[in-house]
Amino acid sequence: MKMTGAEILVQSVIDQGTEVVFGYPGGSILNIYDALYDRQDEIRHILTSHEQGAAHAADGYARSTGKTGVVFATSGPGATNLVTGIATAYMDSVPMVAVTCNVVREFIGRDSFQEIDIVDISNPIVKHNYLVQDVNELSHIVREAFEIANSGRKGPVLIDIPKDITAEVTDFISQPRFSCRAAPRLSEESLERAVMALKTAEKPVIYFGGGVTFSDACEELLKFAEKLQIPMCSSVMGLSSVPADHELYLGLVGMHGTAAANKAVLAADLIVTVGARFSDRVTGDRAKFSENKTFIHLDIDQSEISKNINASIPLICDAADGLRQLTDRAEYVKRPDWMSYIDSRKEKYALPRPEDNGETISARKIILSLSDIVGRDAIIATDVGQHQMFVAQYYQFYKPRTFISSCGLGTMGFGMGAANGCAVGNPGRQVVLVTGDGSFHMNLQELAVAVSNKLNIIVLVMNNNVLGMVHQWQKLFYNARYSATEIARKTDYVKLAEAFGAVGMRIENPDLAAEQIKVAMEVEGPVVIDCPIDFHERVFPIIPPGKTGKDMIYTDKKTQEERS
Amino acid sequence: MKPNILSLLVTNRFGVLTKVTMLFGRRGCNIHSLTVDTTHMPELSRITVTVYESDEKVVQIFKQLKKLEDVQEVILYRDSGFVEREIVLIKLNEGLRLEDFDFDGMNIYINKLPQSNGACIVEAMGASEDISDLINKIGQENIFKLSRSGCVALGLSQ
Repeated sequence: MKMTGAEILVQSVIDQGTEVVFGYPGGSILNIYDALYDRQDEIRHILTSHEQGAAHAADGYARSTGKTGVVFATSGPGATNLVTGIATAYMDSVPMVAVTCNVVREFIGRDSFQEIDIVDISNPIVKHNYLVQDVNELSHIVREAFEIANSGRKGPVLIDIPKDITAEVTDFISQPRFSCRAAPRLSEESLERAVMALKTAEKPVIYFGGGVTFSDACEELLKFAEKLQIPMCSSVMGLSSVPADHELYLGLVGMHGTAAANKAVLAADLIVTVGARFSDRVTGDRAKFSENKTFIHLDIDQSEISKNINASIPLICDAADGLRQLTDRAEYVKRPDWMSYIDSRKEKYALPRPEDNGETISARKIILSLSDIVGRDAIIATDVGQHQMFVAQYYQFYKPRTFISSCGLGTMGFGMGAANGCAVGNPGRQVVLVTGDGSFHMNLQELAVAVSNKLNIIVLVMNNNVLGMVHQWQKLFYNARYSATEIARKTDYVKLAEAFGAVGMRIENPDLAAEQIKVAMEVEGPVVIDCPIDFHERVFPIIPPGKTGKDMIYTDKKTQEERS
Repeated sequence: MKPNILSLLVTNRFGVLTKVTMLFGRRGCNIHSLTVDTTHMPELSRITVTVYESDEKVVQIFKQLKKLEDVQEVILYRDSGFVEREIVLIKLNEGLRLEDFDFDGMNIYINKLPQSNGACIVEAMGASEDISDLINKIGQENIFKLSRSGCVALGLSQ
C-alpha cells in the first residue's frame, strides 16, 4: 500500500500500541499533523501549551500507566523545548519516544529557519536517536525505537525526520508490535554467592529504587523481604512501590530520609540494592557509606554495577526475575538482635507528627490529611523542592505508580505537565499535583491543558513566598544570606485559576482544609488550591551534602544533635 | 602509566563516532589516539581509542560504550594478549637526510619516501612505544612536521 512518510509514521506509532500522543504542531511537522487528522478515532492528540509541557505529560503518562510516553514536536525551538523533558525521563529511566521533524534535507546545514541539530543536542540524554534518511526505513525505525525505549533499563528515544521524508510516498511495510529484548540471565555462581551472603549476614537491609516498579517487581520484592525478614528502605524513585504501613518498611533513605532508614543503613553489614543506583542524595560520602559493608547489587543495567559504590556481588538481571530466584533459594535466618534494633529505631525516630501553630497552615499536616482524603488509588504528582520532600516523607503511598516526581534531574516545572499526562492516562482516577509557588510559576501555562481536556486534577500550591529548598540551604549553609530566594510574587492563585477557566480556592483556616479538598474532588476539571504556608517550616531531617547518616540534622533548633 | 586501548566494532554510519567520543569527553577523559576505518564487512567500522586514564574511569566508559545501540562489540586491551601498531610520517628539517641518523637496534620498519620539493619524509611503522622512541631519537629540533596515525590493535587469541 502506498503511503506518505507522515502516514507511515502515524500508522507505525499506532501499530506499536500508542493510544495517546502529546505534542505541539509547527511548520516542519505539518505533514504528520495532517496525517493525524485522519486518524483521530484511533489516536488521541493532546495539545499542550508548550513543548516542555508535552514532554513532561508524556513522561507522567508513562510513569503512571507503564506504557510508552509519546511526544511530537516541530523543528528548531519545538525540538529544543523538549530537551528538559527528555533529560528528565532519561535520568529517571522512563520509556518515551519523541518524534521531531527537521527542515527538508536540502535545507539542512544551511542555518535554515527553525533548523536545529536535535540529534546531536539530544545525544547525552537519550538511549538512542535517529536522523531518518530513507522513508523506507521509517516503520522499522519506529518499531525499534519502542523496543529500545522499553528494553532493559528503560529510557527515551528520539526520532528526527526531515520534512521532505514525511512527504515522500512509498510502499508501507507493516511491522509487528515491538517486544522487549531478553534480559540477561543470572549465573549459578552469582546466585550462590548472593544466597551465601544473605545467609551469613547479621544486619541486612534492602535499599530499592525505581527499577522495582519499572519491572513490575513490587510483589516479588515484598515476598523476598517477608520470607527473609529483611527491613527495607527506598530511594525517592522507589516510593509507592511498597505499602507505607508495611512492617518491614523504614521509609525514605538518604538526604531527607527517615532517621530509622538512615540508621539502619549505617549499621548494616549487608545492603541488598534492587533497581537503584546509589545517587549522591542517597549515599552522601560514598567512602563512609560503604565502610564495613557487603553490597549485593541487583540491576538490569551492567554499567550501574560499581559506578558509585563497589558491589562485590553484582546480579545483572530483571528485578522481578532476580528476586524470584533469590526468594526460592535463600533461607530465613533468625536475627532477633537486629530486628529489635530496627524496631527500636523505628519507634525512636518516627517522623514528628506535624501540628498547626494556630496561625499558619502546616504543609506537612495538609499532606498527611491529603493521604486520608483522596484514597489509595489517587495519583500524586509533585514538582521539585520542599513540597516534594514533604510528600516523600509524609504521604502514605500504598499502590505502585501513584507517586510521580522528577527525582534524578530534579526538574522544577515538571509537575503540571506530568499531572496532565497522569490524568489523561488514568481516566476516572483522582490526580493531585502538589507543587510550590516557585515550581508552579515555571510551567503553570499547562493548567490551560487541564481545563481544555476537563482533567480532574487538584493543584495544591504550597505558597510560602520563597524558593523554599534553596532558602533552607541558605539558612543552614550560607549564614541566612537569602540571595534571590525571596520571590515577592503578587500572584493571586484563585484569580489565576479563574482566568484559565479553572476553579480557584484558598485555604484560610487550617481546620477547614480537609473539607475544601473534599469539595475540590467533586469539581469536574482542574481546581487550584492556594495553600499559604509558613516558610519557617523546613525539611528535616537532613543529611548535609557529602556527609553520612551520623551527621543528620533533626530539627531547626537542635542542629547536629545526636539523639542516640 | 600504561595505556588502555578500547577496540570497538560499530555500525558504519554517520553520527556514530560522535556518540562514541562524547562518552569520553563527558567524563573528562582525554583521547590520546583515535583511529577509524571500515572493516572487511562494509556495514561495520572498527574504532580504536587509546587513553591514559585510571582503570576505574576506563571501566566505566567501557560499560557505557557497551550500552550504545550502534556498538556491536567492545574489547579492552591492557598489559598483554594483544598486538598494537601505528604509522608515523615525519618530515625532517631542511637539509636533513635519513642517513644522518642511526637507527640500529630499533625494532621498527623505517623507510624514506621519494623526495618531493627537496623535503625528506620518513615513514615508520611499529608499536606505539617504538614510534615514540624513534621520534625521540630523531629529536624535536630536527623535525619539521609529523603525523601519527594513532594505534590499531587486535587480540592475539583466536
